[in-house]
Amino acid sequence: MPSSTRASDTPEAERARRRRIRRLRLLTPAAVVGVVAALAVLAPALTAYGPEAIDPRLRMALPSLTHPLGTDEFGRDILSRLAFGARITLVVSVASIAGAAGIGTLLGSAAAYLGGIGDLVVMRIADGLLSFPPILLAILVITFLGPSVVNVILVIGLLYVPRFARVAHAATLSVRETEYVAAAKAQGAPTARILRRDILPNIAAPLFVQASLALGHAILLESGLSFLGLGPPPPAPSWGRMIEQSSRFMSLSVWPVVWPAAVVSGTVLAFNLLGDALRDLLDPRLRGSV
Amino acid sequence: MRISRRTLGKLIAGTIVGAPAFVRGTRAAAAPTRGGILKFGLYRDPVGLDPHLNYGATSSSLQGNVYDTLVTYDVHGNIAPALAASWSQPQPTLYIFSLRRNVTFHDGTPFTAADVLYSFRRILDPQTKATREKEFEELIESVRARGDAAVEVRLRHPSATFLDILAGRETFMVSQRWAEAGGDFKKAMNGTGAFRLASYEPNVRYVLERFPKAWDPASLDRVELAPILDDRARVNALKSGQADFIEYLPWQDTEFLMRSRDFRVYRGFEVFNMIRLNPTRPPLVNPKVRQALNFAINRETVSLTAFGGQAQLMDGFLLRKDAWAYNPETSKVWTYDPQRALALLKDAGLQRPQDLHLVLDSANLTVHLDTAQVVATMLRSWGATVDLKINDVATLFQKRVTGDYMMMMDGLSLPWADPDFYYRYFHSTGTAYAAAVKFKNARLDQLLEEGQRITDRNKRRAVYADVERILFQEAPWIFVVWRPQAEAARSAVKGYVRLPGGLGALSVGYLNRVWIEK
Repeated sequence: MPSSTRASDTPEAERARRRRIRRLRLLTPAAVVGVVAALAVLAPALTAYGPEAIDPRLRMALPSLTHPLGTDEFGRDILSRLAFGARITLVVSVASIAGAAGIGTLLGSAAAYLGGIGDLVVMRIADGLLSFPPILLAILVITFLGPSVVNVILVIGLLYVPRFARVAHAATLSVRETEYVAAAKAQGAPTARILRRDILPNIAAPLFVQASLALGHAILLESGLSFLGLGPPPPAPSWGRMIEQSSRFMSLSVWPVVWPAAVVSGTVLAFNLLGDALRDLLDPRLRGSV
Repeated sequence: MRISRRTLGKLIAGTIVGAPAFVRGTRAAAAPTRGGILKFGLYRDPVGLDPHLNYGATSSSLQGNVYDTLVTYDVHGNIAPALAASWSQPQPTLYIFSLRRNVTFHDGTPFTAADVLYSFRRILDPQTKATREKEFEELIESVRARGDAAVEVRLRHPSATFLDILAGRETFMVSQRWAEAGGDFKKAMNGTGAFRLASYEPNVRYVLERFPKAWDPASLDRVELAPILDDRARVNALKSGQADFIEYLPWQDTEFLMRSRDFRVYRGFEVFNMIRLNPTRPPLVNPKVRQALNFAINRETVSLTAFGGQAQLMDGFLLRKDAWAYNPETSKVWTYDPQRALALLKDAGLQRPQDLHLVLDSANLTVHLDTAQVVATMLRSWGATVDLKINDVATLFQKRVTGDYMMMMDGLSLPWADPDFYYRYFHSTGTAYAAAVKFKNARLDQLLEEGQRITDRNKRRAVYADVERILFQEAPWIFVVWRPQAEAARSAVKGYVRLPGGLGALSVGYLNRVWIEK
């Protein structure tokens, strides 16, 4: 049987197809993250109802034109609470991960570059923190400090510092032996400058990937803490507390639980897929794979 | 078929005569049966065991089944004999209690007049920090034994509520011999009640076993009380058969269980949700601000949103329509009136609600937190700044005792039906509120003391009407709602009676009346 040659079978077409898939794998989760970010930014303009405004006549109302996602057990607009909740969730996750990335990268790369006893101490402390189950450590710290947005940021940040330190440490160990670092040393460049100009740009790729994945985990952790009553106090609209509070009324209406649960799952999934796509994009060994 | 007048008359007569027999027959068929284990889902851990300290309703329920008081409440809410088989009052300030004979404590030691004296002494001992210490100190002049089986209590002044104090919780009779042999009231229980504490593991399970030598023995062999803190888990435990009886039934499950033939719901409205205000903390120092807060709250909205419309509005004070001292004049004073609230704020020197910076403490219990959220939201939408702080129950208890709060969401049940309950809250020495936050109104103190000492109901009615008028001026709390308080049981569980007249919260302490139909 004669073989038919199609345009799609040519190496060029195959590369184009892979590029399209890679782009799709990057853009789809990025679009979801963008929607959540837009939800947070545009929250006041999205609905006419404040996130805490109570309407006793409209408790657990079904989705309608006036309340597109329905209302919760207090008659509060679910869309408004999700949008304002996105602000809290994104602020907590971005602030905590940004802080953790900054501190963790600095500690990990400095420890790896300088070596010696400092390296040993920093990395053993990081290992110690990593050995704690994250949710247990978070509960302990929040119970001690009290529930608030700032404290949740602090605790999630604390949990992710060792993760970033580990990644930065491993990447720096391989970069510090390179010729350009040796050249900078030979020229008498100070350590801070070498770290800033020669090491940091060359270890950024794995850190970006780690940050994207960590953002998803941070959202999950923030929602979990809020679900347990350790997040921002009510009536602040946090996604985890929305799920917890409305789940008591599931026998009367499921909508107040379904929406925040779907938003948490969708956002976490989007950040995880974005992390995977970034890794594929930035890692030269995976660049050709789909 | 035609029925003659005579036949009709016979039928009616037969029905009238036969009806009681039918009812008797029904009762006979439903006679209590011995045996069985009752698995009881508690709302929270009982926290403490000391029989002279109030740790809240759940502890009181446990204590009520293990310990006895001198007098008790019958199913109609009337004072009835308990460890005192009878009593007399030869003078207005003298009570003589004849003790029940052949009663033994769970450790086998006999109950005598010496134990009554010891119990009174222990309540009066400042080291015990007994809940009733101040009331006893203020009321009791002397307690003397008259042989082994009678006790004479002399009061400093006549008291309309002395027997209520003895029938309520926190005045349980304890064994002197057991205590002097090293018994620790905080770690073990040794009462004369229908059940003895067989074993317990805090936050897990409290096992009560039938005490066969009890003077009023139980039908059940055993009661296993397990704290199931999560509302859904507690209701699911009942539905799945893991629990036979649960307390604090959430309102959203009440209607469903009421419709089901497999369960029975016992609901009352004797527990009230209110917000304690601390008059030493600005801006609450000014009573007009406290009044304004009461007018800024829409109680209808609280009932609808926090209790699905099942709560009753607390638009007056603590005396309700079924109380003999009820005063219609002060029964509907707290209306939702934001304009009046604003005017009161201005009278107090504050120009607008935005000048109010309030901190509201609440426990992380749904029956409190839902109300606190709604109230905080309402005050915020009025313009005030409200910082809602969530505490665990133990921390909130501590703050309540020390007065370390500005506003505190709380839920209370009345200790007894007599209006003397106002003394516990609003007399400057009142242990349930005033003493902790230094709330004092000299005229109110005088009236509350008077209300305790006079026994004529008409005069007392006038006194308590004045008390409520002063409470309106002082507004020491935000009076919110009488919340639905319900227990639910499998339909095979019989004999449980919810006490009337504001005593409903004590009902779980009478599990000796409960039995399981086989």
